[in-house]
Amino acid sequence: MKELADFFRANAQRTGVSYADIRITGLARESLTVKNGRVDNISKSAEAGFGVRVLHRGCWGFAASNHVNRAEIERITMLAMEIAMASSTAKREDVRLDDTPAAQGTYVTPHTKDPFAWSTEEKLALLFDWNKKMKSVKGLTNATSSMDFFREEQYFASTEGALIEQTILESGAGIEAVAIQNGEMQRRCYPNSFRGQFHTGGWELLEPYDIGGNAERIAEEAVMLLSAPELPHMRTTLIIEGAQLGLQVHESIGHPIELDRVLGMEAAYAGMSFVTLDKRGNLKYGSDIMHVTADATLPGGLGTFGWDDDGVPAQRVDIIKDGVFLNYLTNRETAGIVGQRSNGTNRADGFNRAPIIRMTNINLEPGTWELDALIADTEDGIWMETNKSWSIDDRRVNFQFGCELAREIKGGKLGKVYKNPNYTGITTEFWGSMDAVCNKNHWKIWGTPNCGKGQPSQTAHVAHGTAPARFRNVEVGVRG
Amino acid sequence: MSTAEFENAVRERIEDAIAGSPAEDTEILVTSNISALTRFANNQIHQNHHEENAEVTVRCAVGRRWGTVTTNSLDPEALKKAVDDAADAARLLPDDPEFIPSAEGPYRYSFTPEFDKPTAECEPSRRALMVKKGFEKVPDGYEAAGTLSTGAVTLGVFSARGISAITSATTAEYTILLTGKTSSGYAEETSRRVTAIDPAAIAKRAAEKAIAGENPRSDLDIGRYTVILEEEAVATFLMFFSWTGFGGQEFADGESFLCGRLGEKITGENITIVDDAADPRTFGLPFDFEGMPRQRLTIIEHGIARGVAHSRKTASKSGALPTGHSVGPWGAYPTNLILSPGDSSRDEMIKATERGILVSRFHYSNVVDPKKTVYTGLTRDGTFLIENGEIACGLTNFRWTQNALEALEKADMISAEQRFNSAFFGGGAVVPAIRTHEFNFSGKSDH
Repeated sequence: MKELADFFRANAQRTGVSYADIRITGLARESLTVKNGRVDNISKSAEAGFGVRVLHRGCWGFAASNHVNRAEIERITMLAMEIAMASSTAKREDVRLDDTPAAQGTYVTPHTKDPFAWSTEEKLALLFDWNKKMKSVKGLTNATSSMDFFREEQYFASTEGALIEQTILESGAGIEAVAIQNGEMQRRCYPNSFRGQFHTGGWELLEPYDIGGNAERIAEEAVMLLSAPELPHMRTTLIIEGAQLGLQVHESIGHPIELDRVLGMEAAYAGMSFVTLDKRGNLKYGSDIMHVTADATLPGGLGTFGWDDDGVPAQRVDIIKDGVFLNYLTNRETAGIVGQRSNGTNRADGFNRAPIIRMTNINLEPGTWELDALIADTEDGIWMETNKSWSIDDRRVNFQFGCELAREIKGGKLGKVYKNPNYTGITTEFWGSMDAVCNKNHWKIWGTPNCGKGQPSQTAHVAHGTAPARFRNVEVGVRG
Repeated sequence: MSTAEFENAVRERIEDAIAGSPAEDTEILVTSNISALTRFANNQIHQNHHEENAEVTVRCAVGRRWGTVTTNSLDPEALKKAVDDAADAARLLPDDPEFIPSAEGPYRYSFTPEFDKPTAECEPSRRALMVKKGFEKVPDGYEAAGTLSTGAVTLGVFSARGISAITSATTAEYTILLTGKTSSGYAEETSRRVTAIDPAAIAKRAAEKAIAGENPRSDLDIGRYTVILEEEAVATFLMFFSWTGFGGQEFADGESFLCGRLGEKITGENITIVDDAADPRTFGLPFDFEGMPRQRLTIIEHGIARGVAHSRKTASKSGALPTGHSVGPWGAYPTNLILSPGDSSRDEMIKATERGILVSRFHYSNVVDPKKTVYTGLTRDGTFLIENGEIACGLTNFRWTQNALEALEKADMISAEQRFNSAFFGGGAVVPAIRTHEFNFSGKSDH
């Protein structure tokens, strides 16, 4: 790899471009699914390739190929240069990178139990066991258990002298129980929806969730939901558990603080942001207890790495402190616009995509409450858990989330179960109504392996550290 | 290398790999693509992308179990390794009670998709020139954002039991969003040929929409309204139907909203939905991921549910016949949907509406209740109040939460004109605009 990187650098420097970098990647994935007592799908994939980014005449050009060799690197570099020249015929302003020093180093995701070294038979035995436990519950229709593992080896080199080798390892697992009766369907997932919980690291990070120990309970809840009443439409106090709150953070904080989105670069697809440049340091995003960080150094987070795909080191940055918005997510291209150096969030979905600003681990920092005390302190309200659907407008203002399960809170105690719960609101009003956040005993980092953005489309793996939190006067139970 | 030469080279390599397979049955699915996308924002090109890649999915059967391995290399050594690894993987698995061997061929396919060399080989300078043509139509005070993509894809399916299918097609797509101080407008066009794309005309459509929506009213109450849904909104409904109801796997699992309802009336008589890859407007390919010919499938006929899309496996589970809609391990979905036209025009719909709302486009829609077809989303890029048969003014965006089948049930006017429109989360459909009633706007945004 080093030899190919040296060849790329010498070749790119000869072309006279102002900047160029290469990412050579090898990716291994393993995905296993057991459904209703049989292997539904097991697939192993391996892919390799490289992508070249060129900054020439003030514009970007990007080209990628799945043939990793010198001749192809030479051809693709010239193609990227030609693309940058074409871009320069329709430009307003030159791209200017910040002065982040070129980095050299190696990063490997810390782990103790490498899932790729673990036999298929052992993985299947666990998946079958989870499946069997779910299927033992009377009235359950479909039981699915799954595992997903991901390892990306990446070599990054730039004409500025950066030389970075990284191995990112991810592990995910989960169960899904579906109960169907009289034309109605209820679904329960654990530890989270959409194939479960995901971490950077090995199997050791998933063991504490005791998926097998929760399988029967999750199946029973799916069946129970069929006969539960629908959540009525009302305004009430809402306590949201951590996994759902993670997605709330994702959609209503993580995306709107991406500086490329703020600058209109994503307008055509996913939209823009209400957090316009005049808001930095001024916008009261939420209540005084709101503290949000972007932390790519957090052990186990799906947005954790050594360096981003600009070669900028992983960082921890305050995004919102005391409810006030302080910082955007930036890359080397955009940071200068807000008078900063990049805070290291430029990431690509594989060798064949150019990096764009992506969330790292965007966290609602822990508060002071024990969960029991928070529920006991709530006279009248609703508890909601596990995401079922999500939707937010093109400036990240109006949102609506559906959850799998809700419980009534009456007189400080959890009560009856409601099905098909959802809640809706306006971003700053909602965060402004937050009056309690649980403490670090209840704080977990929730992986989001399916964050879509960009054209051509890219899927990022990001995470959100959250603990349950309480919000006042929230509209719940919206009907179609 | 010509397309035919490339296809022959792929065929030769894949058939060699199958011939050398140690497994009892082998199936290989290959997609190879060269694609480019010029992206613009703030009236300038800001990202510009070109990629060459492949995906080769090898399935090997040992006894009654399939092992699957995917690679992105078409090199003979990589293919041999993938075949050997897939056979090894199969040996580790338990027997599959639902095992089905690979499809037995060969089949004849009813059409060949269009392959346009200038589109496959479109140069970045040409795309830049076309993007600039669009910029010329941007009104003062507006920023243009969008994409121009061009590319070619080759799809091949081969099996040890005689399936030998390979085809290539090109696609060009131009999208443009114009954003001003108080309004926005969007337009798009997709074609097999880049020369059929006229950025100036498409940008002009977006500009007309944006200008018409300037200084929108924000005081309209939420509630139920008569609405005219333009093509993107209708295409979004159809794609959600496909993912949650029209697919064979969901149907076999009891999760489809069509379970137990085939033969029943589920919408009005004016609604017919078919899936037809052979209709060139749908940009379909002639066979599915098992190499089975794509059949024209009637899903809803004059309001009555008639069938769902099946792969060989989902058909076997449901006691039905395969329809040529396999999408591999994800089951079977119709991806070339067409909603039949009516006999109205958009102008006639507006004229016939005393008070209502015209929705140009949805944004970030999602499924609230898949069994009841309740979806939610927002309006975007042109929401208008209709009063006394005329567009009165633009409106700020609404959130809607609506039973989509009910919306179709209440559709009383459907446009004669249909067009292919993409949907936000992928895919697209050939659809008319529709007018429907009591459409539920459940919330509002601030812009």
